[in-house]
Amino acid sequence: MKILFNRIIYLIVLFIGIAIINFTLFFMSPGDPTNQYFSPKVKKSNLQILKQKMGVDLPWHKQLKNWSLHTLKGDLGYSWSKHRPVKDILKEAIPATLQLTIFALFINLIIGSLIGIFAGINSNRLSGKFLDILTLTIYSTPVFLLALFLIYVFSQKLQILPPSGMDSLRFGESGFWLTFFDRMRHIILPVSVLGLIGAATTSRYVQEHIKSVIKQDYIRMAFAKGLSLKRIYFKHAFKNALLPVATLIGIYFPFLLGSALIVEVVFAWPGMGRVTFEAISSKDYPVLMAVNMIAAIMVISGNLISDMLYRFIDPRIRIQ
Amino acid sequence: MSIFKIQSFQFWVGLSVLCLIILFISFSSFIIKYDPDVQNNPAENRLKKPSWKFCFGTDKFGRDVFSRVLYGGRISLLIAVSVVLFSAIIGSFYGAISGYFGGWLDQILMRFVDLLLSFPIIFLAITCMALFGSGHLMLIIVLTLTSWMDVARLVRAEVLSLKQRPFILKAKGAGLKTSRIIGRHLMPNVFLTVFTFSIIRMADIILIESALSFIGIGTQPPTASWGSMINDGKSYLPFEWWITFFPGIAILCTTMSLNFIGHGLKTLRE
Amino acid sequence: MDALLKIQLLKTQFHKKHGIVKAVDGVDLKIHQGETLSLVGESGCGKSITGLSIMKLVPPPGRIVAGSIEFKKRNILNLSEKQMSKIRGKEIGLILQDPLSALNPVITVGEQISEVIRTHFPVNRKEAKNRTLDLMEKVQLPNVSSLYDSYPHQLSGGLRQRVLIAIALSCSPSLVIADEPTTALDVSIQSQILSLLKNLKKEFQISLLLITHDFSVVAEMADRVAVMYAGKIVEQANTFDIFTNPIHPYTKSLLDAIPKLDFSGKKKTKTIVPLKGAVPDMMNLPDGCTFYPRCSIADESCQKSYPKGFLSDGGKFVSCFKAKLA
Repeated sequence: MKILFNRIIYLIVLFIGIAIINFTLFFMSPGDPTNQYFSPKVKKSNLQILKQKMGVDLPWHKQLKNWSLHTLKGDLGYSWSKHRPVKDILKEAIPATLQLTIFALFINLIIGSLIGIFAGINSNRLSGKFLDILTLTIYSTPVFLLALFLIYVFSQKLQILPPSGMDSLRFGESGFWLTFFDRMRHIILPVSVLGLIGAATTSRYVQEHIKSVIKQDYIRMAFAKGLSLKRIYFKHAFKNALLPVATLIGIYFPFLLGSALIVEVVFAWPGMGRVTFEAISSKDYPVLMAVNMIAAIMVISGNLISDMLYRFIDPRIRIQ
Repeated sequence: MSIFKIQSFQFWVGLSVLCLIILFISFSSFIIKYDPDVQNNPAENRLKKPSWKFCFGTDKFGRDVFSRVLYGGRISLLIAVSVVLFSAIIGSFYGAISGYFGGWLDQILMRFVDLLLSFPIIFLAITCMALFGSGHLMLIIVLTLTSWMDVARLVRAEVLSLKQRPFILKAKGAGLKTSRIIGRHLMPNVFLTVFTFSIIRMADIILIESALSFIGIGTQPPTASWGSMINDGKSYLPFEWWITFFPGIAILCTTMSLNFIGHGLKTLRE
Repeated sequence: MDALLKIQLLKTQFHKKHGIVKAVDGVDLKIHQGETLSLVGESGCGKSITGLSIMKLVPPPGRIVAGSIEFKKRNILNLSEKQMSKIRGKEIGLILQDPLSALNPVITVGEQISEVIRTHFPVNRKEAKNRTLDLMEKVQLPNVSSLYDSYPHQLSGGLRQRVLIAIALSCSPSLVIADEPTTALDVSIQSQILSLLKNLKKEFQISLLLITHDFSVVAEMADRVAVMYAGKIVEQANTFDIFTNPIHPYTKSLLDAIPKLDFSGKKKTKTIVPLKGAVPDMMNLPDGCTFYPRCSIADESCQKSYPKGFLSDGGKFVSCFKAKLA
């Protein structure tokens, strides 16, 4: 319990650190919010007044204080390019991204583990070697290339799945089930891209660890006990090979967000990634800043989750 | 220990493909017939299919895709090699010092690495590029800053175990200078580990670089890069497929061969 | 009396890239009901692989290439994996050398015992747990009910070995293969484990195949001894005969290599004679008698062919040219 408590304290400190660095980056960047009002017609003295009003002429620590207070209150500022509160933009984008990433994470872990176990057990056979090459190939494929390939095959050639967007029906117009199926049709391709690339990574980890686990004495013992293959592989081997996967989940959160950014751009999925992309192209600093903070929260929760999973799976750590 | 001991078929395929790619890219100036960034009479040569004249076809400006793939490869490989090299140097020294001296110094250095590793690095990188400009130099700096920590961890672990080996203890007993022990005795033994890791990491860097260029914050037009070429070509799918296909294949071949080589080298270590 | 286990001309080989390792090369063994047979030899001579061959658990690339293993009058080499898994754990139990690595680190001790019972008997979890607790008491584990939910790393080496014994005995098998059961333990624990094994063997009426390199264990436990060298049985006899009248030069030198204490105060009559050389490279064994390079009484005839075994007076099995003459 004490370890977990320490860990949470550490993560909170980490979060504050990320926040400060994040703020400082924006503080150091050339230009400030008044730039958007800059034109030959605007007087310099007026700009100065504007700067004072917005508080952007204050020293670093005072601005940091202001920004933290606002952020803690839930006020994330105002988007420069969309002229709406950042909070509202995120409110729409976050659920879309969560749908995508959580769905993808499930596919990733389930398919990745199954393939990993199979490839690890059969690593000396042809099927294992084939899966080894296949997963390494998918692992080497750029996210956007796989996305374009799937669009090419399923939307452009076979024309069975929509190439972009989140819905083609308006919500509430066609009843729950139709809307639901429509959403599913849209989500298949982006989720497949994210899930497949993640699954390749997972399966490579699992495979490597299964390979070393099945050489252990306790697996020989499991065979000597006459247990069923299912029990040997899924209970005795997989549980041990799962330990590194628990660490992986911590790494997956930022990784997923990063690839989700690209997938959302390719599939025009209205999530965080797309918001980030648009914010980058329009230099919309308040949005970027908020996105960075969300990413930080994701990373921290990923860390916490993998920590707890590890403790849950490995009794050697749990007891200490 | 010679690389000829590696019996993995993939390793040799990967190595030959990579050599071929490097050969093509380094001699690209002699091979190509058209300037990659110059539009060749767009009215006439626009969006041409692969042919004898343009063997990978042309893009919307009539530029030769073949030349652009070769030149784009230069940039991608250059960035990847520099990032990996700098990360290896920084990480090796950091890790070696941390592992060799141990104690409180090790604790502090490694906590700092932990801290950096739990950062949402990719987002910070993107932010940096968005804020401070996105030239190649910036790309190299940002990617190096985000990838040396893994090398540091790896080297530290290796040094920790090497430190207990007789030959290092002997060198210490013989009163060699610390810098000499680290430089002459530890580093050569860590080399293969770092090299293997760097090869695999290079594939990752190429993937990240191409993704950044794809969404438009890496290499800027009109300079060719594999990622930005695919971005240019994606609106011409499915009909003018060659604009996306060839740079895509180029990325895939490079990353795959790097990964195959890396995994072959891993078996050598075992 | 028919034998419980009858191994004939068993050959187990490892086909590797650079050659074939004949780990077990034509082994004949018999174990009778209630008997303890000890398989002795230096490490790497193939005794563990013999044990694993009986369970058909030879790790790849190892393969049983010839011979027969009759267990309860059925040749188990003809059985399918599925039929085999009904014998493993139920009819034949296995005890491995290192109890820490033989127990799964992420599964509780109780679960690791009771899963065997649940696999082989149609009992529910509660019944299996009760049987497990009984068993844990029989192998003299303390505080069984709290130990049931502990993990292997929380136990001492001796307790872990007791857990392994409980696993091996969980379905009252007729044969237990114990592969160096005491080697990894402290000396003080070794004797406890051995006496426990001895008592349980009587109580459960099992036969024991005891694989060891330690002659003190042999003296304590075995009814009969088979000495193995480079994949072959070179001598087989009653325990008493082996110690008092060894015939094969390898057995002799193994016994000579044991340090002995002489408390009589007189001059020592026997000195330790270390066995020269090491177990030969199993990938290219010498022609003729495999022991010839290390043998003190060998001559040129020993290089020509491998000596056929013969039964000497008193039912001893020996395979040596010189011993025949002696």
